Amino acid sequence: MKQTVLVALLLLISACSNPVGDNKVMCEEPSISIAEQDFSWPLSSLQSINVLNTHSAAIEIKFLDNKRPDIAMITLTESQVTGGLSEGGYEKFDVKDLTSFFTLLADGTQHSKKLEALRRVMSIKNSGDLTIIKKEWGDIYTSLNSENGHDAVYLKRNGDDRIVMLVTDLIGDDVSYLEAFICP
Amino acid sequence: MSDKDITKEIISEFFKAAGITHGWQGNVNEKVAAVFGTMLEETRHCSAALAWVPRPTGRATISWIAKQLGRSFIRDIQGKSSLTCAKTVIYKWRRELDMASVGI
Repeated sequence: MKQTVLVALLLLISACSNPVGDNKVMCEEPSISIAEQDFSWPLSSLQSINVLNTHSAAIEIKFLDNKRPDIAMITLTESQVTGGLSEGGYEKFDVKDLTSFFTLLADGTQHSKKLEALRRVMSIKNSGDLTIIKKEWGDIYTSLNSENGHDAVYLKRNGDDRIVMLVTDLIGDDVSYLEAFICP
Repeated sequence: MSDKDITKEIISEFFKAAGITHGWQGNVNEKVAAVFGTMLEETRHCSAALAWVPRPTGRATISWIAKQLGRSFIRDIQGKSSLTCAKTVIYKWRRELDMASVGI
């Protein structure tokens, strides 16, 4: 475990609480910044935010309104996203980086026994459960129902080792809805 | 019950205490025990509920978890809502735990 590479997670919540309108308008006034990634998530839609900081201590900020969905925001390393596979295990699956790792998982034509075991570990039941979105600034990987019924979103930014993970129920099948809240 | 069975029950109850209804269904081995030891340590930083839990010298083992935590751990954490912060720790370490469980 490379605890030393865990990065500081900075959570800033601005006073903006009601971003509405199209993506551009929302991102002009981001509501949350996590590991220097801005989001225009409507704060009124959040029930709780779980944050992991540099010393691995999780804290919970909870909005006391059960009507709101839960969301976790964490900064991870590539090793943690891959369950340690990135540390000497990629070659078992003939992948070289996180993008090719997710691409392999999403490839419905590949069905080796080892790969199916890996998919089970990653909670991917169907290849369609995993979506890869390539953006100018990096990649977005969305994994539906992979976190005990919740959806996971990983943001891998170019030139940045920190991977921001969101666990939320907000996505559903409409990934474009999610994209609208991620500020470029 | 064997030490493995007790360890599996402890891990599963830990997941349930964090709000993960179905607990944990994996197979226990020494690597799983070591990862779970890390999860316990990290949770200790965010919840006073685990302040009483002893620390292993070195990596946690199946035997250590079964004997040092045992069923009293299960009784203690059942129904504790103060372990919700452990959910974040689980999000972080779940993959490592499951990978260890299937020997990948």
